[in-house]
Amino acid sequence: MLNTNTEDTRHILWNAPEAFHWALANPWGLFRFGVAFVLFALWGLSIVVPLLRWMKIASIGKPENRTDQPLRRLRAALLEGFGQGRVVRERSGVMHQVLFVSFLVLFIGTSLITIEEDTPLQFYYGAFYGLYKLMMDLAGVGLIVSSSWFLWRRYVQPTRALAQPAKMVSTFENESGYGFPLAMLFLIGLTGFMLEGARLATAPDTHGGLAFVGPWFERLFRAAGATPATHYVVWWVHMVIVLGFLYSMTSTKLRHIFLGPVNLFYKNLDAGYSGGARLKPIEDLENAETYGVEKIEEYSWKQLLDMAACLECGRCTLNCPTVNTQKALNPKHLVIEQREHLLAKAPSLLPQGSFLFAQLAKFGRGASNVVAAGADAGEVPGAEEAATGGDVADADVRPSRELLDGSGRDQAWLAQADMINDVATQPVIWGCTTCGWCEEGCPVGIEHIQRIVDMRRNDMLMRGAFPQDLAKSFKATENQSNPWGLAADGRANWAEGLDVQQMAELGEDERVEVLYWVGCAGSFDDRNQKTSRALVKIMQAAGVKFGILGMEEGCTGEPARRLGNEYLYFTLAQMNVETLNRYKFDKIVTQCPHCFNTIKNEYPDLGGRFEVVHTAQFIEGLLDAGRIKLGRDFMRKKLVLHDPCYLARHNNVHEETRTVLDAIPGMNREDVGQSRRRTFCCGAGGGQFWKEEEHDTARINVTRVEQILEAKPDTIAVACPFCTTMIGDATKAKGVEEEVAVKDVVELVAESLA
Amino acid sequence: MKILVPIKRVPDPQTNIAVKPDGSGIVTDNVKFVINPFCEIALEEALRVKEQQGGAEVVLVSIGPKVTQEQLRTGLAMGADRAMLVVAEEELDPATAATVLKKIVEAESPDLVLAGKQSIDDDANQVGQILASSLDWPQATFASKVEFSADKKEVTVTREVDGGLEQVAFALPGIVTTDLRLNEPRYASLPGIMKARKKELKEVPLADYGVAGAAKVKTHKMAPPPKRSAGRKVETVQELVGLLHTEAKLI
Repeated sequence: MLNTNTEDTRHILWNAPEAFHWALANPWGLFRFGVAFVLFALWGLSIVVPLLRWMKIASIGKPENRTDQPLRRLRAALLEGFGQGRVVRERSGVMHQVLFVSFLVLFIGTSLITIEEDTPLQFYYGAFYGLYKLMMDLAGVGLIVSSSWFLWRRYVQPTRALAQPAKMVSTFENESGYGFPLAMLFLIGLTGFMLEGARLATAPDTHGGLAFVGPWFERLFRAAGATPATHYVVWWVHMVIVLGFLYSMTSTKLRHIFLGPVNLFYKNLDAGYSGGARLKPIEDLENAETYGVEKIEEYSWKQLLDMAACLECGRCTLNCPTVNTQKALNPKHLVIEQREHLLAKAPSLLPQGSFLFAQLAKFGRGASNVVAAGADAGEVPGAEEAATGGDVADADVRPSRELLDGSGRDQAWLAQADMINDVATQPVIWGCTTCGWCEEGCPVGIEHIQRIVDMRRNDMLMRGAFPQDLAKSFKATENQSNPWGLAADGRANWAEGLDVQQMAELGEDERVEVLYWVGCAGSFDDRNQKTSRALVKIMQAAGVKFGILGMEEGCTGEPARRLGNEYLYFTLAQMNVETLNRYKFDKIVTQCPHCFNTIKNEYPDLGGRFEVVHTAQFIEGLLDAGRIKLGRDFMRKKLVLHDPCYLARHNNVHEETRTVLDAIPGMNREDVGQSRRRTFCCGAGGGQFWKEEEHDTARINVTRVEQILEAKPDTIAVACPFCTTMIGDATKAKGVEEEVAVKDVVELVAESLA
Repeated sequence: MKILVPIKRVPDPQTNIAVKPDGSGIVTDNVKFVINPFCEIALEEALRVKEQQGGAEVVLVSIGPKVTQEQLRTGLAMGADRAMLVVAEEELDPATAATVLKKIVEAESPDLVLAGKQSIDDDANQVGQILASSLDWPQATFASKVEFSADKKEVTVTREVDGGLEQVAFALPGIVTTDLRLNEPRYASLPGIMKARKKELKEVPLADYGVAGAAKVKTHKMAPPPKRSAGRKVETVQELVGLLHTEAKLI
C-alpha cells in the first residue's frame, strides 16, 4: 500500500526481487496473487501429505472408540498440547517454551506484514512499529538462544534420555533427527537479524523502532560497506531457509507440533491420572481365538498413532525403574523400534496401488521392494527374498535400507521380524513394573503399559512363553487364591484374638460401615500382618463397624492381570465381584494400592461398582471427623514417605498420606525429589514381585532406597505391602536396617493413638 | 516313543489337613485337589522328551474317583496327548494300583513308564517298584536327571543318593520314578486348556480289571498329630535345672 503516513516505519518488500516490485505496483495483480496462492497451496500440501500418511498408517490398527467426551479431549489437546501443559513439567521444558513462543511471535509478526500489505488496514507505524520491532527482536534472540541450547543439549552433551535405540532404519529423518530442523531455526533467526541489519544499513527511510539487535548488525553491514545488492542476497538466503523450514515441518521430527495435540486429543481419559491404571479387558474372553497382540497390526489405531506421535524426547526414561537400573526395557526405545517395524511393514499392510502406497515408495523407505516381492496384505516375504527384490525387474526398486546399529540387518529384516521376540524381545516385555512413570512423563500422552501388557497377554496366553519362575505363583494363585500358595483357609489367621468379625458370620443382611479388604500380603505375609493388625487397632479405637471376608476373600488377580494372565484374573475377579455384591457395606478399605486400584478401576468392567478407599484416605477421614486422636509423641526423628506408584501416580492420592503423617505429633517429615506423582518404583509392581529381576543389573529397590537415604531419614514410611517388603529388603541390602526403620503409615498412626 | 505317565489326585500340599472326627479319613470340604507334585514332575519330563524327540506320545493314566477328570484335563492342557481314567470310588492299596497299571501297560505297551516316586497323601513310595517287578522291567527310582542314548533305546538316569550322585542305565522298556529336582513343571497355556477339552479322556470302570475288593491293605484309622502344648517360663536357672531333672528327666 502506498501511503502518506510519515511516522516511523519501513518499506515492506523493499529491494525484493523484480517480480515482487512488479507486484508492488499492482497490489491486486494476478501474478502476485497467483504466487501467493501457489506458495500457500504447496505449503499446505507439504504439511498435510506427511500427516495423512501417518494417519493412514495408524488406520491399519484395530478400531477403538476415542471420541467420547469431545470437549474434555479438546481441552487436553489445547492445554496439555498446544498450551505446553505437559512440556513445562521438566526443566528443559522452559527452554522449549522459549522456542515455542519465539517461533509463534515471529510467525504472527510476519503474518501481520501480509495484513498491512494486502489489506487496507494500516498499522505498521509509530509506536506500534517501534514496539513491534522490539518484540520481533526479542523473539529472534529467543529463537537463536533456544535452538542453540537444544543443539548443544542434543549433540554436544547429550543426556541419557536422548540416547537412540538400535533398530532404526537409516533414513534422512532418523539420521538427521532434530539436528536439521533446529539448525534451520537457528539460521532463520540469524539470517533474520542479518536481513534487518542489512536493511537498516542500506534502505532509505527505514527505522529500527525499538529493535536492539538489528542496529548491531547494521553497524557490521555499514562497516563492511554493504549495498542494496548485499541486502538482496541476504533476502534470498533468508527466504529459502524459511520456505525450506516451513515446507519440511511435518516431514521431520517437528511433526510433533501437529501429532502431539492430536495424540492428546485421543488420549485415554479413563481411571487415574494417566489411565494406565485400568487395563483394557479382552472382549469375549471365553470365545476369543487370539489373545493380546502378536503382530503390530493387531494394536488399536491409537496405539499405532502413539508410535507416530513419539517425539523421542526420552522423558519416559527419566524416572523409569528399568532404565535407571540399566535393564533391557527402555520405553522410548521400545516405542521407536515398534514404529520402525510398523513403517517397514506398513506397505504390505496397506492396499497396493493407492495414493498412499505411492507416497510411501516415494518417501523411499525401501518399501517398494518389500511389496514388489509379491506380498499379500498381512503377509511379508522372507528377508532374503525381499532383499533381492524377488524377481521384479523394476528399475525403480530401491535397495532395502540398513539399520543404524551397524548390525547388517536391514529394513526388509525389520519388516518380517517377529514383533515380540525380535523387535521388542523377551526381557523388555517382561521387565516392566507398570509403575506408570513413562505415561506420567510423556508430553504427548503415549500409553506404554497397555502396549506392553498386550504383548505379555499374547506371550502368556497364546505362546505359553513367559518367565518360568512365574508358573509357581500362578499355580499357587489358582489353587489357594494367593500368589504365595499358602493354605486358603488360613487367610484370616492373622486376626486371631483381635475380635474381628467375618462377613459370613455377620450375614448378608447386616450392614457394616467398612468392608476391610485385607489382601493377600496383609493376610499371609508375616511382615504385613502387622499392618493389618494395626489397622484393626485403629478401627476399633474409632468405633468403626467393620468386617472381613476371611476365606471368602481371594486374590484380586492384579499381578496375574499385569503379567498378561487375563484368564486367571478374570476367574478370580469374577468370584470376588460376586462375593462383594452379596454383602452390604458403605465402603471397602484396602491397605494395598494394587487391590485398591483393581477394585476401584477394573472391577467396574465386571459389574463390581464399589466405593473403595485406601487406608491413607480412610484414616484421613477418621482424623477429620475426630474419631481418632493422635497423642503419643514419638516421632522425634526424620521421616521420608515413599509414595506407592499405584496410589500416588496412578490414582493421584498423595496429599492424604501426608496429611495423615503430619497429624502425628512431633512429625519431622521431609520429601525427596522423586515423590508424589514423580515417585520412583520399588520394583515390585507389574508382577515383578513374583519373578526374578533381570540378572546382572542394579536392583530397583536398592536404587530407590539410595535416593531416599540421601535425605538421611530414620524412618521410611510406606503405604503398600509390596513396597514394605521391597524397601525393607533394600535397607538390609544397604546394611542400614538397624538405623532406618520401614513402617507402614497405618502402623505409625496406630503407634501414635492417644 | 510312547511314554505312559500314571498320575494321582491328591490334596494341594499347601492345604491344612484336618482329620474327620471319626478318624475315617480327612475332611475334603474346601480342599483343593491337584496332580500329585511328583507325578507332575514325571509328566513334565515326559513332555520335554516329547518336545525333544518329536513323534513321541504321552499317555496319562489315573485311578481314582470320577472327579479325577479335573487333574487329567490339567495334564492334557499341559500337553499330554490322551488320558485314561480307571474309575474307582474305593480305596486301593499300592499293590492293587500296580496290578491295574500292569494291565494297562500290557495293553498300551509303552517304551517308558515315567511315574512320580511317591504320592504326597499316603507317602507309600511303592507303585513304581511293584509295577517294575510284576512286569519284570528294569527300573530307576528317584531320578534327578534322565538322558536318552542317541538311538533312543537306552536311558541313563542320575539318582541322588546319600553323599553324591549315582548313574544307572537300562535298555527300554523300563520304569523311571522322579524326584523333586528333576524339573520345574510348566504352567498350562490357555490354548493348551482349550485343546485339552477336545482331547480323548477314556473312562474304564475298575471292575474291568478284576481287582475290585482285592486291596490287602486298608486304612484302619487316622488321627491328627498331638497338639504341641505351650511352653513354660521359669524364673531361675536353678529352677530350670530342677525341672529338667524331675519333670523332663533329661538330666
